Amino acid sequence: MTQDRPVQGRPVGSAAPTSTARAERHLAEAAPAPPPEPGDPDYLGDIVVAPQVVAKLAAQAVYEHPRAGSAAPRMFGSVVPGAGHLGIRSSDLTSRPKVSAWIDASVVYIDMSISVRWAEPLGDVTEWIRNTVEDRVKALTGLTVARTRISVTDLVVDGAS
Amino acid sequence: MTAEPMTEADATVDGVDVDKLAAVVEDCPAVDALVEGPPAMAATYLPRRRVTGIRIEGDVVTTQVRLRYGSTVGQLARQVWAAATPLAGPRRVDIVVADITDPRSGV
Repeated sequence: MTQDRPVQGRPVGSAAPTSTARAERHLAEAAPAPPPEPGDPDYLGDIVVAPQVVAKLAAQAVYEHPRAGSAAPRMFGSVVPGAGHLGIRSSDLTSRPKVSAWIDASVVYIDMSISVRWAEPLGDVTEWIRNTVEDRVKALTGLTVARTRISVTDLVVDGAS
Repeated sequence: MTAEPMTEADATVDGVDVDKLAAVVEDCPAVDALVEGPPAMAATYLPRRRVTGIRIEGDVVTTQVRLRYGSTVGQLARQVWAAATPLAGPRRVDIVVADITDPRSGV
């Protein structure tokens, strides 16, 4: 009863293709361990984690990276100029990005749009974010991140656009 | 003969003291607060008041909470089950983690 219990819910079924070898390894680790059934003495109830919780954890991971942050929404492929003055989210390396998360049983799919400081290697930044998000979501919620889709929609010069 | 109407002080639903249950859940270190709204819409309506984050329905007690940042869902589940199961009787206790505190503001 004191061990970590897997989050219960509908069967995973066929998961979407994963984006990284890390995610595939996490999925393989998450596959076994059938949850206790009602009537089992270890069964105390279900745990449900809302997608908002995962999205906040992912946004916090981006916020902690000094070279990544929120991205202004795009209209017809272009960043809306002066978005911050209109009360719309602006590209800012010191704020959290918009993140969406979907949970299917114990597997999570995450989409986010971020900005990155100009001239930083995008591959390094996105890899750090992807690894941090996968590790943190797994550690804090027990859910497995199957895919972290990162869209770099803006490049920021000197901390703000 | 009709049953006595409930008063504001009454907080027992199907044999479960909702006020006491809410108090012990909120006292768990990993729980920041009981919360209402989606996804579970958990709330108990009592005469002239409402207890948010707790619902008793059939053989299930649902608690909907905001997780304190830094605590894990496993820690939260163990704490809530240890606190709530004695009060829930034979019912199972479902836990809905609806939100997590902001590490900057703490809310």
